Amino acid sequence: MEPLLDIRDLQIEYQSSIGELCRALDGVSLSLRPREILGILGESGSGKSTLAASLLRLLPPNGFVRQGQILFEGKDLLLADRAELERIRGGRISLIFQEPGVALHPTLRIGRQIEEVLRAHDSPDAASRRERSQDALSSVFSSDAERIYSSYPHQLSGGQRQRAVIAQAIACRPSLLVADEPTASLDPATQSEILLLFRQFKEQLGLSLILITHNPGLLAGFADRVAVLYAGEIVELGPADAVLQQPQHPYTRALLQCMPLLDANNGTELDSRLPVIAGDPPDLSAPAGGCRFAPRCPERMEICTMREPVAVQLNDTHQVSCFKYGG
Amino acid sequence: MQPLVQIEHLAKRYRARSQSSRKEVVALDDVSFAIVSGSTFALVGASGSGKSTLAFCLACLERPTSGKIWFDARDVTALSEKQLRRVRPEIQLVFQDPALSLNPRMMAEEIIAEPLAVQRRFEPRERRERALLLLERVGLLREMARRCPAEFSGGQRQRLAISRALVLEPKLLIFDEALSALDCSVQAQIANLLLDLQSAFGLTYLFITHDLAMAAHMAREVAVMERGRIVEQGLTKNVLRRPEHPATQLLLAAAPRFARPRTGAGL
Repeated sequence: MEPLLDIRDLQIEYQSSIGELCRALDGVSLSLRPREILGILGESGSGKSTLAASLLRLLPPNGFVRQGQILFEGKDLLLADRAELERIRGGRISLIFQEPGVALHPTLRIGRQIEEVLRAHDSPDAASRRERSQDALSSVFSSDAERIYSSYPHQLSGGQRQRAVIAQAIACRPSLLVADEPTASLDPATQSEILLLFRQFKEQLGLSLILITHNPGLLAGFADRVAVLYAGEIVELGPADAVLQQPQHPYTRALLQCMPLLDANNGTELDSRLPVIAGDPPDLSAPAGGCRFAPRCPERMEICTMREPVAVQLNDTHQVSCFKYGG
Repeated sequence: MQPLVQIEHLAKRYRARSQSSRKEVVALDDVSFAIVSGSTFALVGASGSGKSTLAFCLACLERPTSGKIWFDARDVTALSEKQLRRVRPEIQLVFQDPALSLNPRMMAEEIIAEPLAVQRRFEPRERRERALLLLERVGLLREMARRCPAEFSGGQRQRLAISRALVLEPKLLIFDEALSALDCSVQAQIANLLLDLQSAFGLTYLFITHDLAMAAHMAREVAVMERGRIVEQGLTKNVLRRPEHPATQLLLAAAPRFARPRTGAGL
């Protein structure tokens, strides 16, 4: 089956005002099937937001693609013309950010905002736009849809605003949703509800989802596959259970060990210190040779500072970029 | 031994100022609990449950509608504004977004020293020295003293906010979702820092969070809030082992509990 999205060897750089180049993504390759949920696990500085923005060619003016392809439904988005891009943005691929405020117009009622998106894409007349807008809201708000339709964003809670954004994002029935930390400002109960919504869309609308987050807990039991992003590279990629429960890359292991977890009795060690990853993420404007994680890696070997590891297939579905496994 | 903080039947009501109603919003309703000196007490609950309102009342930044707050054996609800000004330095807040406490146009050392200047404590040279010592104490470097907040990472900014909260040598620190916006690995570092500081300075913490796993890690006791009321409270390990109220069970259901990765697996 042809992948829905196929990112090949993507390299993206930012140029600072004094001309320094910073390579935010350095050869990222990923593919996504229809009806698949891919989690991208990355912390600040990993390049995850650059990846999200690049999918719809929404990089800031000082960012540019040095090389690579982003094949969506077989066609390279990086070569698409403006008309094609506008058709795809919101129509075939929708983006959801952490702050719902960014996507909602403060002085338009919610229903009207969704109708604007529909009008930009394909809805022929006002009556059918209204109906589709109400449908979109009903699929996201189990009981309050009518009230939300006539509300302004400021009249809604944070969780409701994010749901409204999601309704807006799916109104045109895109095949791919990209969500960048969509639940970061929400409490756990609302987070779970939003994830449930995403899963419903996957099943009922055949939607694929790329969920970008720094929180592994969000991806557990939710994503089909997980890609771990560190300093602009994918260091591990595989089925979610495998990556989160038996991580192979030292960074993934270190990251998961940092989290306080509840054990089977809902207990935890009180007052003990959490394991931490020593040091800070590397300065991508001046990459030292070798593996990006080497300076902080507890299992560093000599070769790690000399060459960059390549991806090694551990089995059909799980790959890792680390010299411990060859490469 | 008397607890450092004793809250008795605290209530806070706001009159809703919308054009459509003159209803009252009940933000806190009959809240009572105590915090033992030198310990950490966690307050958990969904958004809108009243946690932040409670924090503001405890920090003497809001007057409750009724009830009492005993802090260090003084009834702060009965104090005048002038008397409160002397109590407030002893209770400090650290917020989710450090930008709320960091003046973007001031250098780190100025930000940390500012409360001392406002309180007219010490001479400028000593204020600066205390600021630098605290900068190092929270894991930052002296070389960073003259940088502005924008030149720090998110985790570093939070460390800066913490050092500013410590400069007046408070007895009680209130953390309102202070770790929630940080990356996982940074949360671990800051959590460790808070535990270190607590034992070094004998601090008492009120730790507000919706992350139950972190609450369990940091706090000996926990109270669960829902719609302005405490619905369950007790020793953290007991509340989590046998949660009785649906609100607690809901929070637990959302806490990550996948198995800790076994090192060496797959080699």
